[in-house]
Amino acid sequence: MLEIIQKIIFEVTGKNEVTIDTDFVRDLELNSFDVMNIVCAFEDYFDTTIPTRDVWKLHQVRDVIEYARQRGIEE
Amino acid sequence: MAAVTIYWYGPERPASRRCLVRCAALFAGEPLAGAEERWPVQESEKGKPFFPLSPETHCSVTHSGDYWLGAFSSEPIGIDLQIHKPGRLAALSRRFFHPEEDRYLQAFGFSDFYRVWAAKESFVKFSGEGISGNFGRFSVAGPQGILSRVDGLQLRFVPFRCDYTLCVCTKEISSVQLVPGK
Repeated sequence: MLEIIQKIIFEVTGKNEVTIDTDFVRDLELNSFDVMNIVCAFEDYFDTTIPTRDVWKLHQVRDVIEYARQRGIEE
Repeated sequence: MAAVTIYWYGPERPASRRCLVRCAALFAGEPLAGAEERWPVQESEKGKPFFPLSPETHCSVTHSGDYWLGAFSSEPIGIDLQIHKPGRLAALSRRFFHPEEDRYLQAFGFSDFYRVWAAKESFVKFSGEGISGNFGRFSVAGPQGILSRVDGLQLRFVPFRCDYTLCVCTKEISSVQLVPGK
């Protein structure tokens, strides 16, 4: 899952220094538009939908991995 | 009526928090020395910064591309800057915008995508709600284009740089001044 998230973030933002501890805003300096773009790419890749209210609870890469695990989203 | 001062920094800038307190000092007409001690910053639950020692000073911050901007006023305010860059504009519009906005953008080939985005985000930053489940529940566009008022709030686009869209939202704007940060 980490590798897929890294790939999606790189494709959308060009940022490639992404670890499980990376914070989208603090470390990558992404803004809302970047985050929404990543969400769309993630949804496309996994053919799923993340409710908008949940998007803003996902601050770090580890949050996305845990979110995917809880909802049974698999590679 | 709100007089709005927008301070901007380019790519070579201090950290966001430092930019904010320096701008607060500039807005108050104070020296920059000691600004961090005089202007402590806190954030609301949704992340909107405020100055607990100066509740009459309102601010909103945004960053996009090479720029960081901080808007200051004596009235609550929201601001958003968007660099124009490739993205899944149609998918983002369909997924996150109000159906009225999506219809408008589809009709005009998404040329106003960033104006819709910046208007919406400045609106939710005004309230401090930020982008949440409410983002798609209000529309800043009608069949004829982007609205200048939504729910009694004024939306004003401010010319900034080529390939950027900047929007300010407050109750009633009297003036907008763009000032380089120090």
